[in-house]
Amino acid sequence: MSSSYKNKYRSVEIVRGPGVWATIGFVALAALAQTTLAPLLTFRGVMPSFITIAVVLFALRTGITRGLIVGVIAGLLEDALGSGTGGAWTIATALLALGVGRIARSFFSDGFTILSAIVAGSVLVRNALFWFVMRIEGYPQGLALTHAHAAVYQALATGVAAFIYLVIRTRFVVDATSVQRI
Amino acid sequence: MVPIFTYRDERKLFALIGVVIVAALVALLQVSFARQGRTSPLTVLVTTTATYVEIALAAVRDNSRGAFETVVRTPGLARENAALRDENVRLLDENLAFTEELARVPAERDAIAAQMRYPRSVPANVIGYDPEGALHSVTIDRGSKDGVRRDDGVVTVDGAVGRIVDVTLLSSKVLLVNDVTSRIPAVVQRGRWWSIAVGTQTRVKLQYVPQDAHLKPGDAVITGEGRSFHAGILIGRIAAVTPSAAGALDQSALVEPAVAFGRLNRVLVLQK
Repeated sequence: MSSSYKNKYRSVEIVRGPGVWATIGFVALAALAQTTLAPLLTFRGVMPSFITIAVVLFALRTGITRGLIVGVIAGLLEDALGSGTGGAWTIATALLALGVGRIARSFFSDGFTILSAIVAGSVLVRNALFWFVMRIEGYPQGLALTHAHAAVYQALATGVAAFIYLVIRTRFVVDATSVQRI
Repeated sequence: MVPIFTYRDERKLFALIGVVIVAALVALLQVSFARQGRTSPLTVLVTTTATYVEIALAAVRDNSRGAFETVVRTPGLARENAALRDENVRLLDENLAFTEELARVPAERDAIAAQMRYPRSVPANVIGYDPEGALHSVTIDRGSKDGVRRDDGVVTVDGAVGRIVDVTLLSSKVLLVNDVTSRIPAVVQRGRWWSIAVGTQTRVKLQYVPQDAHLKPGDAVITGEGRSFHAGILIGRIAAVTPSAAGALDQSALVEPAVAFGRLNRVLVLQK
């Protein structure tokens, strides 16, 4: 890479990736599955967060703007389907999408393990943000710590679910991502 | 003229004499065994061998006949097969319906028992859970149009489930008693000791139980008269008593909830 490249271009922007509407549809399905099939999906008290998988993988491939759109919609859905959360999931998921979308500007990986690890880490970050917002909304202090144990297990379960999803996906879908220097 | 004698003729003669001798021996053996009233080994050998051959031949015959009949009856068999398949499908459907009916019986029985215990209640179905499981809450299919109001208590035949925290026209959200933000007045039934039941995610913790209360594992914990519940609804049973610190004024205990929150299906909303 020449030095002129660095002067001319600040980063790369993904201009073609998964469709926003398709991803929103997937997020809606994931939210409905999580709320209606919870007893079937729960193992040892935790359930993989399919919504986090969708938001993080999408934001990683499409960047900040589109990631944020999907993140806000996903969070809104969770707040609507849950109870007493106010806008905690909306804020937490939007911030997560923002952060992950920012990473996408300087990071690209096709490795399943790395992507799954990012998804697992995102679950922890999202939970921390959620309980932080809940604290601001007036919930008792220390709930994040109370739920930390469950959050770690959920992160592991979600990471494994993301890995399985990625493995299965590569067998059926060929990515058509292209990037543009900006 | 001198007769011609060849070696070849001599071999034929010897063979003939040998066969005659063997035949005579076989005959003698058979006669001897017959006289003794026993079956000769030779007869046994021949019979056994013949039996195996007969079995093999019979199998070939039967299969050939079966194959022939199959070819002849093929059109009829196809019709019969189709009819049997239809019947099989019908029976499977019937079986599925009966199995479902059978599975519903305990739930229906519980629902009826709960309705008889709380005649002024509103029956409801659980239609959703918290999407991330962060808060322990469920969504029910009864809302303000059915008369459900905020802070109404929710129960099953087993005991207290939680209280209504959010009401919309068609549905309501129920905060379960094991959620960490849930607090309801509770009474230990045996000694009428008052306390506060607080959720711990998986169980319920009794707080502020007087120090002189002699709690025992297995003690029933019921609701006290409060905003959401009338007195006397089972919350659960004490699983463990936490030893209180020296000089403490109160003690606490862990309660195993009476309701299995992971298998909630039908509930009742108690209108106050």
